[in-house]
Amino acid sequence: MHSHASAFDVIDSLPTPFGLIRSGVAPDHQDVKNASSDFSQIFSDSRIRYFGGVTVGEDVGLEDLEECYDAVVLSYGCEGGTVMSLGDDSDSDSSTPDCVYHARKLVDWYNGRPNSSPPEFRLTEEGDLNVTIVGGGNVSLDCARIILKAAVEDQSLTTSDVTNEAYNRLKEITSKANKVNVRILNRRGGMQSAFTIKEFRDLFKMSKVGKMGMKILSSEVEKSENEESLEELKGTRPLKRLWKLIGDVSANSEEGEKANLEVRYFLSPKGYERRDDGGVSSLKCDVTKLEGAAFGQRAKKTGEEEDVESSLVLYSTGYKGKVLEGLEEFFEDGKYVNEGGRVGVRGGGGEGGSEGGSRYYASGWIKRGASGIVGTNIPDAKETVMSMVADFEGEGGGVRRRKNFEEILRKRGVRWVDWKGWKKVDEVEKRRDRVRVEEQVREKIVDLEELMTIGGGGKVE
Amino acid sequence: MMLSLHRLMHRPLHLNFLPTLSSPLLRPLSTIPSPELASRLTSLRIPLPLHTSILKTLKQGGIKSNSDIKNFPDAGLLDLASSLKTVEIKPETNITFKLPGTRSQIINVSSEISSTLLQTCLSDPVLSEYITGSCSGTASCSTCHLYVDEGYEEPEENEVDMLELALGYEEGRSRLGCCVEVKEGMECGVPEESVDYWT
Repeated sequence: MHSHASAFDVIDSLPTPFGLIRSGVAPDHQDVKNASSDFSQIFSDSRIRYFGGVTVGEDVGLEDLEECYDAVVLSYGCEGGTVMSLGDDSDSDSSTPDCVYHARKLVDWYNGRPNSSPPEFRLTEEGDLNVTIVGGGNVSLDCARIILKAAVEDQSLTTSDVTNEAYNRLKEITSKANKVNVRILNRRGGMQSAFTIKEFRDLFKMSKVGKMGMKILSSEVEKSENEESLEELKGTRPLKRLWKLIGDVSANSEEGEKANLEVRYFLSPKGYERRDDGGVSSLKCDVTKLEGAAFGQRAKKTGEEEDVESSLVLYSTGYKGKVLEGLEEFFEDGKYVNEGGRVGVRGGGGEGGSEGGSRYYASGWIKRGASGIVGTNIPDAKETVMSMVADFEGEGGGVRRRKNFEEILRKRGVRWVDWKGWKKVDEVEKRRDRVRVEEQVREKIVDLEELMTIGGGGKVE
Repeated sequence: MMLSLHRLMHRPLHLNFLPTLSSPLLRPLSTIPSPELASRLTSLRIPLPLHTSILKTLKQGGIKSNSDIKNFPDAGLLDLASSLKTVEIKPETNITFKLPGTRSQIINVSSEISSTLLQTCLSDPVLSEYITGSCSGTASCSTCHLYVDEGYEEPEENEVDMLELALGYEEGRSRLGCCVEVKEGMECGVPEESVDYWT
């Protein structure tokens, strides 16, 4: 067995740790967020240090990392997502009307990501809030569910760790609205649905309890059952259950008094209709149909069009990673090309008098693309670690004495939050005088400066 | 110099995860003991299956907030546990787990009847390397995916939702450890996909 320890430094751009567990997972999914206690345990080991609030690529560069580390594991996820620039004047950003955002805007805001800001909620003349979400993955379902929970005053939203600001604003706008209509648009058909059954079933349960209407058009269900899609259905048991559930939802479609969810298929955005005040009034779409072989079907325009009433548009059609400057040669299609997590070797000949560069590895979304659930990351990480262990085992493993990262930070005058600092932030966030109800686990600190101050931001020399 | 990742990754998860049996979607979060409380109870040698009952009893007695619980004396917790113990404690039984891969070893674990398979795995140093409970045992992930060969019962709908996404899913064998109650003579298997990379 392996003999003894080496040191690990975890560097995070945000002062707070845990990545998407804190800023991505929806606030009403507290159970999933409990995975963070697993991570916390690891930090009680003295061989691991945390450096929060340090952005690689801004505060420090790869050369700095190479002076300090034998191995660098890239695990910074996929942040990039696009808002579609549509229509005739699609070459300028000013063509996008107000109230059109990437879904991350809403998620970052309700999850209290530092320096996030709310999307603008505008009602129609009739007083309706029409939310159109482009893309049918689990993030879209999260956005829909949070807005709808506010509209029906679901207690589980009140007791969640959604920020007070977002909670109050969502309640305010949804109660002011006459109707709250959320529409999720999928480009292809029902059997190509990207969401997972558990999340979809949660929404169905909400509608069954009578709190909101939920609708899937039977015409779109029928259209989804083309020959190739039925072939896709035959091979996959999870899809069979999902398809049955989609059928049940469609058969039980009902209009809600106040809140409504519609899941639409075969619609691809092509342009916007604007309001006088510059906001969006509808999303113009091409009606599509499926073409191609099973498991490779694509959406094709039919020539028909449809306008989807929208006073707020959110895009959630996939997330691509951003490359770190200096690693371009290893990057392709939004992630790092890797073999068992190994990306490549870079650098060397640094101040420490060391030849041989640092070995770069990848894990998580930046390694395999933005897909999977929380648990998917475990075998992913295990694979990368196995490669690292193999690479450093035995003689000539390339392990050498290097600089202390703290030295570099101090030299550059970069503040950071260490694990103790994060625990201070954690204690403040959990204070009872901050929360709206007892069950709310924490009220997050959203101001970046406040986080760096409470977190003890390192000492600038 | 060699990296020692094995010791680093070995974490005593039973301190943090309190999987429960009843339908995860119906159980309110507040009856699941917090990691701090679970840790404290474990350090007082109060067995896992009693943790949820202790929290429920405290709440029924008006001890609701985390700070109230913090102030509740250890002696009180021990008294509570021993009174619940006489009512609740069930006999232990041996259940077996077959590990995958070239090791293919059988592990005998003694477990209290009334705990879940997940709780059992987390309290064993070898099994806890394979089985995690990243959602704290609420059927919201699939990291406690196990095979039940002897003592298998059909899972419920909400469990199947997550189970089907698990790597190595096999109908008629696969279960989520957090949803299965330990029974006499149970024989389980750890899926191939949970293979231990570093031994």
